[in-house]
Amino acid sequence: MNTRNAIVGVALMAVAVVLLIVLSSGGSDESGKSDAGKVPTIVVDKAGHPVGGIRELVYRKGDRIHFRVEVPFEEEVHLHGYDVMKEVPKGGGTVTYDLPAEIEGVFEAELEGHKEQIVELKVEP
Amino acid sequence: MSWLPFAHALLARQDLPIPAWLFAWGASIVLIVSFFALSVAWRQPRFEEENWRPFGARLSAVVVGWPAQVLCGLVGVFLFGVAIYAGLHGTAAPDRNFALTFLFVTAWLGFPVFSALLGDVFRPFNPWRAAGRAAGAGFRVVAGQAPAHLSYPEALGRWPAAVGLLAFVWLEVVYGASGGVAVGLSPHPAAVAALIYSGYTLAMMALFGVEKWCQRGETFSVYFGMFSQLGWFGVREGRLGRRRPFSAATRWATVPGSVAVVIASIASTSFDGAQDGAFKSAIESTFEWLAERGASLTTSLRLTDTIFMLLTFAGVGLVYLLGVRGMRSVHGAPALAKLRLGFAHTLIPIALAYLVAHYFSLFVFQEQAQFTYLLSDPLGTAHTDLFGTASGGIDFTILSSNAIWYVQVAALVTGHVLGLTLAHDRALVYWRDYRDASRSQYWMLAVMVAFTCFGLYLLSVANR
Repeated sequence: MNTRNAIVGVALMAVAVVLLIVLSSGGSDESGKSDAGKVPTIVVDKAGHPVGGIRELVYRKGDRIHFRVEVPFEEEVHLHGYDVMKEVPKGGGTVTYDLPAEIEGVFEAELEGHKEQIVELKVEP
Repeated sequence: MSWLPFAHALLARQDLPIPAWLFAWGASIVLIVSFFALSVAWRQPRFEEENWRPFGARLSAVVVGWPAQVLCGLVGVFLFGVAIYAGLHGTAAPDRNFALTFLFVTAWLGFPVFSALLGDVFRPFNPWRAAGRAAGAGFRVVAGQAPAHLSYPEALGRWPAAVGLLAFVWLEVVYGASGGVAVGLSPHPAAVAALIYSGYTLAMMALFGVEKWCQRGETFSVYFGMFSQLGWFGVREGRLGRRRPFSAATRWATVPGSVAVVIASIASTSFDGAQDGAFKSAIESTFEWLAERGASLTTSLRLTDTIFMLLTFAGVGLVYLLGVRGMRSVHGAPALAKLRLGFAHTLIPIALAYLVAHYFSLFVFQEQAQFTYLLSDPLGTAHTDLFGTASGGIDFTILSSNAIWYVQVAALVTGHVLGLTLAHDRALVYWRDYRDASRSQYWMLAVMVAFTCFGLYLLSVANR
């Protein structure tokens, strides 16, 4: 096998693989999606699971993170990373998070008592 | 099942996926570098000679003499003891307990990097080695002779370490992911596992000797020692010295089981990274399939993760073995077994690159906790403040997402270049004609490109 042909062949194959992966992933990092300006409510059922599954919320740095959590029993809701705890009173109730998106990354909000994740919060640069 | 739990372990902040454009740039740089490397590759091996130069006897006595060995051993035993005590008696909250951060972040992630830079720094701090040597010294005093040991079966090589490595990672990312919780492994089972491993290790040391077991079977000595082969510094016959970087690695993989150790290392990190990204939907499907057939949620999750972890190990091994088999087809190639062992060391930089790329931010963030509130309040009781830092916290703004992405891509590209370089250098030893050597490296180039692009891909879909 000719050396130059082999090198070009390997390079072309690898470029094709890279292009395939980038194209198959949509060629973007979902940067268009944002929950800024909305106030979604995450409802927790009696078993302690978020109705509809873990809610994904996406913001840009500098946006306002704003969402509510409705829990039918006494609990503590913890937004990790931002380290904000909210207490749900006996008998249940709704807590509201309203804070600036200052830290980039992926964070989870969970029910402390049930150790159950209810929100996946993404703050993009 | 949308609320399928996954181990997010200790850290409250996880990395965003690297953007597609950075993925494309990283992969393109890899290809350009590879093309360039093949075009201008050198024609004589450069890493076979260590060019060993010992430091002065006084410096060696201070750094690796017996007082330093005893002191470091005591520090290692003490810190390991604190971790076990905290795990057994401290808070169940993983992020507030000294045990998990110390064992799974400070030691597990810190030693590979420091070993690559400074040499085998784990060896003097190894708590089991220190305890084993102390027990041996006690035996000599009482019995008046050195303890007798069995001869270690050389065919076993480093296989016990490879199995131990997979078991350790399984404990962290499979066992710790179970139980329907949003956090990972709890401190108590981690401490119990550490005690079980300690009993096993000390028994093996009693059977085969402390140093022999550390060289072959003790998982952490072998694993951290593997990375120390990349660096400048080492100890030979009690003397500290320096050598040509990467030269020690060329002899590391001659022991059976070494290939499994380095492949387990890459596979472990890959699986941990893919669990929440590339493999997520496949894992969820398998989990649901098992759960629908009556297995409990915990059993389904552990079984699913175990299957995928083993598949990752098999997949990484298969890619390497395909590269080796390809090289065998080149004129003048040595035996397959020789090729398999002879090129395993070229994956060590890739393993280190994977480790840095996947855990860099975790290490930077969690070490802030280690040296503030975890140090002052190791049990996490909120009633202790040994050093006045118990109220400290983690500054998550210290690293921007851009900084993390650039470190990740730089680590993988650097690991790729070093792996290619070592492979080409070894090929020049096995093939007398440099043209045959270069031809053989098309196969290793494909292996390295596959691993690097796979690593970039994992980062691009993590936490998406």
